[in-house]
Amino acid sequence: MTTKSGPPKGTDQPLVADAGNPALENGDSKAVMQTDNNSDGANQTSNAELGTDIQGHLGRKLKASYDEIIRQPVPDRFRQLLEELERREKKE
Amino acid sequence: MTGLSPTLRKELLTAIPNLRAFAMSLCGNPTRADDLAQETLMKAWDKIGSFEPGTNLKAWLFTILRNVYFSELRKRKREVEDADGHLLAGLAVHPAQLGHMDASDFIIALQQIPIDQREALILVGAEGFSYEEVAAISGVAVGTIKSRVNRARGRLTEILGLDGVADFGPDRMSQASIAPGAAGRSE
Repeated sequence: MTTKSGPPKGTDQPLVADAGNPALENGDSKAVMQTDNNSDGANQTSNAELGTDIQGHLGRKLKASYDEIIRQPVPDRFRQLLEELERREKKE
Repeated sequence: MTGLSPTLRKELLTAIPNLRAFAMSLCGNPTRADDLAQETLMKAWDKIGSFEPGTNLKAWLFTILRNVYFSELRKRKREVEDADGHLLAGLAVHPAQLGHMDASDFIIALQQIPIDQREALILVGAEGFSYEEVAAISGVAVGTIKSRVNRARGRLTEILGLDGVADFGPDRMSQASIAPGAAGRSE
C-alpha cells in the first residue's frame, strides 16, 4: 500500500533513520529529546570524528524537534474541516 | 467523485500531524502552518480522483502542500523580505506555541537556511523520505536533492554553532535571531 520510505543506501547517508530510536540502541537516550549541550564531549574528539558527531547531533535534533510537533494534538479545526467536506460531499 | 474509501480517509487523517509538522518547519509560523495544512487537505479532497491507489499518499499530500506553499511565496515575493524578519521575531517571542524550547529553537534555525535546502533537509532528515521520493516531490533531480541536503547540514551546523564552540543553547539561539549582535553583550 504505502510506499516504503526507508533511508537510501550509499555514501550519502540521510541525517537520521526514520524508524525506531537509533540513539537508544547506542545507550545515549538523553540525546534524543533533551538539550544535551556541553555534555556530549564532542569537542574532545578528533576532527574526523567531530564531523560524524555533529551530523549525528544535528540529525537527532532535527528529528526530535519535528517529532515534537507531530505529537502535538491536532487542532479542532481539522476535525471540523473533514466533517464539513463530508457533509458537502453527501449533498452532491 | 462520490466518497472516499474508508482506508483512504483513514490514511488522510493519519497524515495530518505530519502535514502540520512539515508546514511548520517550512514556514516557521504556527498559524500559517495550519492554514497550509488545511488548504492541502481541501485540495487533496477535491483532487482525490487523481491520486493513484497503491502509491504513497503521504508523498502525494506533501507534494500538494509544498506546491501550495511555493506558489504562495511567489505571490508574496514583494513582501517577503519584510515578512521573514517579522516571522523570526514573532516566533522568538512566542516559543510556547511550539511547546518545548528546544524544538522552537530548531525551527527558528531552520528558517535561516534557504527554502529549497530547508525543504530537502526536512523531507529526508525528519520525514525519512528517500532521496528519490524527495526528488519526485520537489520536481528536481536526485543529485540536486543530495546537494541541497548537504548544504543544509553545513549551514545549520554554522548557524547552531556546532562547528566550533560547544555552547549551543536555547538562549543563544533566540537572542541571536531577535537581535543579531546583541547576544555577546554581558551586562
